[in-house]
Amino acid sequence: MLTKGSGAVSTPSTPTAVLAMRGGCVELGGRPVLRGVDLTVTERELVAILGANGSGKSTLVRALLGLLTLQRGEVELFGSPVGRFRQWRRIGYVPQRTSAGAGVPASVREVVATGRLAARPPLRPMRSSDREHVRAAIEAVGLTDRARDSVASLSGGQQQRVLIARALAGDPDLLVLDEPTAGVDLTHQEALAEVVGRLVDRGRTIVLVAHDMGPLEPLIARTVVMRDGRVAYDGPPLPAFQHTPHHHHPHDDSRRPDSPHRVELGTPIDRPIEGGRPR
Amino acid sequence: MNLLAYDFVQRALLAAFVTGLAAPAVGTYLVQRRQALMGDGIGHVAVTGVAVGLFTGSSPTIAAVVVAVLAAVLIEIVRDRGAASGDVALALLFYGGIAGGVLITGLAGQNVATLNTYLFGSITTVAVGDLWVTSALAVVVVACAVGLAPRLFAVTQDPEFARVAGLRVRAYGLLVAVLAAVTVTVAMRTVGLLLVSALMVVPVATAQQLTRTFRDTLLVAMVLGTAASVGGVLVSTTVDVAPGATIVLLALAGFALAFPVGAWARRQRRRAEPFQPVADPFDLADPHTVEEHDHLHGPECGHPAVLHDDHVDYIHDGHRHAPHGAHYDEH
Ligand SMILES: Nc1ncnc2c1ncn2[C@@H]1O[C@H](COP(=O)(O)OP(=O)(O)OP(=O)(O)O)[C@@H](O)[C@H]1O
Ligand SMILES: [Mg+2]
Ligand SMILES: [Zn+2]
Ligand SMILES: [Zn+2]
Ligand SMILES: [Zn+2]
Ligand SMILES: [Zn+2]
Repeated sequence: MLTKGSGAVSTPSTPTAVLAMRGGCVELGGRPVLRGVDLTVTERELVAILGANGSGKSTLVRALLGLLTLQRGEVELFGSPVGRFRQWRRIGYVPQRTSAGAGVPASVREVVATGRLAARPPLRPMRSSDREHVRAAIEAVGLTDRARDSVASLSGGQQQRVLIARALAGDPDLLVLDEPTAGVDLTHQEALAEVVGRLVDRGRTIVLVAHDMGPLEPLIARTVVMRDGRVAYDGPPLPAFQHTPHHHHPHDDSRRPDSPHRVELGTPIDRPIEGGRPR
Repeated sequence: MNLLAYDFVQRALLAAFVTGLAAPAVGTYLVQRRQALMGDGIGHVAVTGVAVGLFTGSSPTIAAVVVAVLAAVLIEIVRDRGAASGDVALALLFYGGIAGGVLITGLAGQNVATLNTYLFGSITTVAVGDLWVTSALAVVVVACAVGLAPRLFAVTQDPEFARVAGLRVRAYGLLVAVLAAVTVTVAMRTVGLLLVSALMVVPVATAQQLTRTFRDTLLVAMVLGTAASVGGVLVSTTVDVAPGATIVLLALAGFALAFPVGAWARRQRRRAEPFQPVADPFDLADPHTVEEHDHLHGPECGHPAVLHDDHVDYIHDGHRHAPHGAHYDEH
């Protein structure tokens, strides 16, 4: 069996496919949600998956990780069919905001420590290296001072950071993040971008679902745009996808509050129209 | 008087001790999975098992274990399928279980008093053979619940993540169900089948008032469960009532004491939190996404409209919103 790090034989000329979906079709609730998706992600790539709500981004990611079965097509993880894949310790996953809290209180450290389980034999206590990974992951998302607190007592953005730390704790070769920065403030988005940048430098592969790249934007060399369950675009980032509220009007050069164009109610060209009805 | 010198009291106390450890240990995972009433359901079905044991003249304990495990596996399969009618299917199973039990007991020529000792516990009827079976099962339950805690915690806390971590989520789910079934039969002679669920859930609810980690909750619940269970049996030796009632009332008293303490601690903690700054709602640099619009702006929508060069802007939530084809711009 292959062990962590050795991977499959990789030569510089033919980079190894870490994730591959061919003709993937998924139905949910009797409705086709993915329709013939082809996607290959190779080692050391950072791929951003974009698309409107409901376009199938999360479904794609969950099918790639074997959480959903395909109606048609196939998925390979690190070269083996997903059904026979066993090296789960090589994968880190940040699901789209499931509440990190559940029925019974659990501390931040306990939740993050579940990220080490794939690398730990059952019935064996945590080794010092496990503890070190957990500590470092919590530090990377800036929650060290909350590590002993119950997850339920954290804010939504902080809980999201717990989920990120849980995935980082496994020190994965492939990190799959489904909208990891939803609800996370700019400072901590920047911290995450730094962590992701370091992982890329260390040769890890990253698949990122996002609406707003934020500080991660400069790292991204490839975007995949989903539309209605199909891949609508696959290639270098397009300017249009980088700035979501975009500008077509020649008069609109900026939407920053201090922009000179920002007109106040009552100025001659922007008078309110009676009854809210345009003339 | 020295009741403790009686063999049957010693047996009852030992049975109470192992029950008090095992029930909250499994109960913690049931609460985590939001299945607090699962123990109750298995208890109902186990009544049929007891009755079958009485009817065939074999051990009611063994028969109850078999029937309870079958029921728990069935419940887990229904749950795993996520079928919409699952809830009703379970209700049918539970009521069928208890009605069938009463019927078969009647057919067996046993009176209701015999069945009552299984429904609400009885300290005078714990036979030596029963005690060994019960204790052995309880040791297995506690060993699994504590020894596999990290994995069971991960699987119950976030099953999807656990699957991507390579854990066999379905197998662990079945294990929790089987452990619950075994616990129900372990607890049958002390708290009884109709109140066993209380001993699985109430100590966990009490522990939660005081703890912040899963591990602490598990351990504190086991301590509280043992205290309630042993204490309840002691009380029931002096006043002549079924131990099920005294055990559960003691556990509830513990909750009544812990709840105000927990509420006070939570308030203190909230006070210690630093004040969270609120983002300026009028800061146009804030990301503004399509989901925030629950309607298409138009003449009738009630938002102030502003003529702006060649188009109309609508003002809402501190910004000027310009519909443009299928999307919008901000000005
Ligand atoms: N369990 C389900 N049963 C039925 N339909 C589902 C289910 N989950 C998702 N869908 C449907 O599948 C489509 C794609 O959902 P998906 O979650 O993949 O979208 P998404 O691109 O991740 O959207 P978002 O940006 O909101 O996260 C949606 O139209 C949704 O209604
Ligand atoms: Mg999604
Ligand atoms: Zn436009
Ligand atoms: Zn409007
Ligand atoms: Zn708007
Ligand atoms: Zn305008």
